[in-house]
Order: sequence, then structure tokens, then C-alpha cells
Amino acid sequence: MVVAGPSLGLLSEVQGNILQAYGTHYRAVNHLILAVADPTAARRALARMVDGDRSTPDVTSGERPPREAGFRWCLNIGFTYPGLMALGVPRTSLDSFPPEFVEGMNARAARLGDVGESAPVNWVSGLARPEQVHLIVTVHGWCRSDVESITQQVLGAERGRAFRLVSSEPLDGDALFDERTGLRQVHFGYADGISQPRFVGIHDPEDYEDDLPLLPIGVVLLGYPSATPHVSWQVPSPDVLGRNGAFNAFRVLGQDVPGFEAFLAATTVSAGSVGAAGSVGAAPDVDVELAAAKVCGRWRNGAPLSLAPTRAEADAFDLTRLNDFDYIDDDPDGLKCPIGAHIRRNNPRGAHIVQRSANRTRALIRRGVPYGPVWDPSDPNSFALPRGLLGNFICGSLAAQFEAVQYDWINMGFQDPRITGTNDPMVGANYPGTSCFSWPRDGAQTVVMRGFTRFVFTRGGAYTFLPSIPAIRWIAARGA
Amino acid sequence: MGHTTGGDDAWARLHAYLVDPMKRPQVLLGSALAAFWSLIEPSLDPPPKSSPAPSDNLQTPMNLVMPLNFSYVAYRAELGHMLFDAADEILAGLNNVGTVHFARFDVIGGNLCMFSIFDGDFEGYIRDFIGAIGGAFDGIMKFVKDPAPTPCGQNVDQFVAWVRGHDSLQMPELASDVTPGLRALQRQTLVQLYRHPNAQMGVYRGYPGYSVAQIRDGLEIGW
Repeated sequence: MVVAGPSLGLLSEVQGNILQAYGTHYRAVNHLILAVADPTAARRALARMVDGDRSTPDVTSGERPPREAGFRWCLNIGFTYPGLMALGVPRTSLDSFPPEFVEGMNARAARLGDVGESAPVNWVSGLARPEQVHLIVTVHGWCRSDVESITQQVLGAERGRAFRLVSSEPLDGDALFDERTGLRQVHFGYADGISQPRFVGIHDPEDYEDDLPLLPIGVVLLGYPSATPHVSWQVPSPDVLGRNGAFNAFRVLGQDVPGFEAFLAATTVSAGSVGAAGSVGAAPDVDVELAAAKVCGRWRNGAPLSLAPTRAEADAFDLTRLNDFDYIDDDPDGLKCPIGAHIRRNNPRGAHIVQRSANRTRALIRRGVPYGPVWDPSDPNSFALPRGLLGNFICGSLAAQFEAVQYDWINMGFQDPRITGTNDPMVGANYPGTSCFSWPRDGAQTVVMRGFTRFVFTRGGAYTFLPSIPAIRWIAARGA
Repeated sequence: MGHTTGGDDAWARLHAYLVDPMKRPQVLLGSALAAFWSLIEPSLDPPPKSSPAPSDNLQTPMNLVMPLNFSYVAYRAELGHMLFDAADEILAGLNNVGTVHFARFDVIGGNLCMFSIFDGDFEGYIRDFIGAIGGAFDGIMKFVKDPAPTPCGQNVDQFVAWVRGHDSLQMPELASDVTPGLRALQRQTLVQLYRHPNAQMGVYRGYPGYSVAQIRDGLEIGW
């Protein structure tokens, strides 16, 4: 059943970190990839996790910001399809889940661009064996010791009989911050987490100094109309299981930071205007930071190219206006922010796109924390150390939102004929021989960059269902 | 001389085929083997096409064959009226989907067929057109046997599965598309055709490798 909009008490039923981010105090995170060791013990452990007793690991709801409540840690649970099976969820309910969730991320690898080095066979932390991955428990904490304490309690639940770690390879991360702006950032040095969808009935537009439209809650929560008129995503049955749940694409994304920086440095001396046969000459007016901004769509401090097209404007940018722009008004032809730039591909805002009604329907909530040490260019030992992002892409339909963005926009460029056939220059499945990224310039010839390699590669992932708190109680009561 | 029905024609052709001593063993053996292989090798159906290469994901055919409840003339006329009334919604909707090269509705041999050529992922295409012309398909479902649950927009996954089930088998366009190898081609072909009475057996593209939006952009007719 689909109802018109969110009701009072919704936030207390929805898992935290979906509709509201936990905030900058929660710097450390651990993702536990778990298998159900004993279904009965696991269900008992789950029941304890939703009994409201914070003296044991308890699932954090979105009722109020946990920082305000004084919580030093937050915990959330995602269930895979094999996990729901292992916990004894009945067949009629299992059959009501959407096919992409049932198949799992590994089976959908080709459409996600997870090929070659990124293919599931190479995934880490047990994620290459999806049949063994049942739950992903995410623990956020103010510091690493908070996270470790809760992690040990989860693993020790029911005298250690409930869950089993699928792999000893940890998936822990720590937030990075730009010291100048205080904004979160990723290993590539860009500010992160800037633009997130906001929802009718949840967010107050008066709180934000921009005119981004509020989206219907059905973009992320099941049981409400989606952003596509007359379309709602199927709610897994019974209603208590599906309603107010969401789907999550958990991704372990390796980032080749030294490779990215070396590419920018090398390319900016060889990039240039396109000649008659696509030849490339020198472009002395293109520096590394401008190229880095064009590739992303924002300068590394977060300033959007659409509002701050020059370095001087970026340095002086008012960071309260990070989202106060729309391509349709500010930059329809990509003269400031290239049409193929990372943020414009992933979120075209109001720009004219090929799929005319899809501008807002594919919105994703992104919650990510970097893992691995920061790259130190002066330390040769730092180059090869694993680093990247532990990302969660949360939505109401994995196929219609996450996969559509990944397939249509990031790796195909279907949204605009001027970029069709090219990949996202930062996160796309690029091959040096065919990759291409261009940006037109006002009064000068178009700059074309070629030879992109894959700077972001997939080291693991899983599709999970983030049920509501009542739904976790329902799952815990199976077999009782 | 009386009118010969299509069924009589078919029997006559089959009879002529079977009495040809050169073809009889081939036909009988092929049919028997197809039935047998189909039982023991359930995985021989081709997987949904999915490729990370952009050029592999342009101009994909969809040949939707929907058996009508009835094929008498008044029923087909009623269907025609319904489609005519919905034409504005359908044309505007497909235009909004933005990735459709061509689409048309034909009634062929008691089936309503929607033949289209689209860019991108099959499931994405179906989802996009539910959003754009789901209302028209709710009307179409009233005319077809074993319809998908309606409204389509409230039963998206079932509708996608229903369309996939009614899309004609698409034989490989290139020998290199045949898996696991050329040796298996005949065996696969027999099993797939045994299971799927409708099949697409060849495609021509006058401008391969271009999306509809690229063509419209190149012709400066808006996209």
C-alpha cells in the first residue's frame, strides 16, 4: 500500500543516517560484513538491537540527531537477500523484493561497470562470495575506540553464536576534513557530501540558502509515491517489513590518488584545442587545479564551477552558497561546468537532458567515509597503500536510481548527446585508448583531455535492504 | 474452389517438407533434440544483453508480441480506436523517454506487437516508458491475454518481467556474440527456438553507433 506522504513519528521508525546525516562528530566508521552463524541466536541478537536499550548495541533511528542525544556511537544494519533467507524470512516475503536486490550487486556487475580489475571475482573482505554475505552492520563513532567497543559487542552477541565475520579484512574508515573550510573531503582532496537530496515533510527549505526543490519522500523510502508521476516502487510484504525501508548500494571504491594527480599534471601540458583531426596541442593557460575543477565540476574547496568559474572566484567563494546554482540557468552549454564533469553527470539538476523526466527521479542519498591513509607525495611508500571510499548510495529503487545513474549517466553519457559514449572522467570505467573529456571555452577552442585511466575502481559491494525499526523487530520474531 | 485457411496451408507446407527425403530426418531429429535439450539444459536461453561498452548499448530492438484476447474484426477495431485515442499520450510520452529511435504498434496474426528501437538498458527503457506511457499500457492490458498487473506504474517490477517474457527472442547478431562457442550454435538455436515461437533473426542499422539524441543534435532538430 502506498500512502501520500510521511506521517508523524516517521523518523523514529526509519534507521538513522538515511534522512539525516550523522554529522561531523562521528569520524570513525566500521562496516562489519557478517554471516548468520545461528539463525535463532541471530534473531535474538537482532531483537536486542531494537529494544531501545543503549547499554547494548542498539540500532540508531532518525528520531533526533544522535549528537544532540549525546550518543558517542551509532549503529545501522543492512540485510542482503541471502541474509533475509538465512534469518527465516518467509518465501512470500522474499518473493516480494525487487529482482535487482534478489540477484545482488555481483550479478549486476556488467551494468555497473564492474569489469576487469573491478570485477566481483577480485572483491575484498568476503564480498566476492555474495552467498555468504548476510548482514552489513555499520558502526559510526566519535573515535576509533568507540567503534571498536561496539564492534566487539556485536561480534560477541549471544555468546558469539549469532554472527560470524565473513572475512578478517576490515572495512574501517575515518573522516577527512579540509582544515581551511571544515568540510569533509575525499582522498582526491575535494570537499564531499555537499549536495544531498532533501525531502518534503522532512527538510525545511528555509534552512537552506538555495532553491533546490524538495523531493517526495518516496525517492528514498518505500511505501510512498516516487518522483516519477503515477509510479511507486513495490513495497516488500508484509507492510511492516517493507514500509519505511530503503535500499542501499554499499560500495568499496578504491581510489588511485597518485595516478589521478600524475594524470592531471601530465595532461595539462599536453591538453589543448582540438585540431581538424582531433589532434591535441599545448594549452599553456590550463593548470592542474583548473583541470581538476573541470573534471569534477567543483574546485577542491567545494566551490561550484557554475558560480565560480575562475580560481580567484573559487578562493573568495561564499561557502554557504555551495548548492545555489542550476545548470539550466547558470550554464546550459557547459562553458563553466563541463557537461561531462563528475557532479553534472551524476546530478544534472534542472539541465535539459535526453531522458526529459529523469532530472530529479534518480536522486541518491550518499553517505561515504574515506578509508586508508592520506597520500603523501613525499613518501614513496605511500603510493601503493590501499585508500578509497566506503560509500553508501541509498534510494527507493536500486534499478531505477542507482543502476540507472551508474549505467546511463556515469558510463554511457546518455543524458546529453555531446557526451554520449564517454565515461565519467573521475569515477567512470575509463580505458586510456578510448577515454575522452572535453570542455568548451568562451572565446577559445575546446580543450580535450584523453588517456584517462580508471582512477576509481570497485573493490567490493553489496545490495542491502535497510529496514525500518519495526521491520527489524518483525524479522527478529520469525521462527519465534 | 473453397477458401484455404492458414492452418491448412501450414499443414500442406509441413507435409511437403517432410516428404522431402533430404530434409525429413533433419526436421524430425532437430525437433526431438530441441525438446530433449530444452529439458536438460535450462540455462541455454541467452542472458539479457548487458555490456559496459557504450556502442553495444545503442539502437537495441524490442519486439513485444502481445497475444490478443480475441482476433475478430470488431475487437481489433476497438483496439485501434483505443490506441488512436491514446496516440497523443503515447507520442509525447515516447518523446519524453528521449532514447527511442522508432516505435510502432502492429496487429499481426492475432497479436498486438510493439516494435521499437531504443538506446540504453532494456530494464531502464521499460521503466522510463512506464513513467511516460504507463496509462496507455494500462489500456492495452485490457485487450491482451494473461496481462501484466495494472496499473503498470504500481507494479513496475512485474511489468518489466512481463515485457521481458513477451519480447521476441533475439538471435545473436554476430557470430562472436554466440556463447559458449560456435560449436554450440545449432544446439542453442534449436533450444531457444523451441521455447520461443517468436524470434528476431536479423537487424540492419543505417547509422550504427549513434544515439537518437546524437542524430537529432547533429541534424539540429532539437533533442
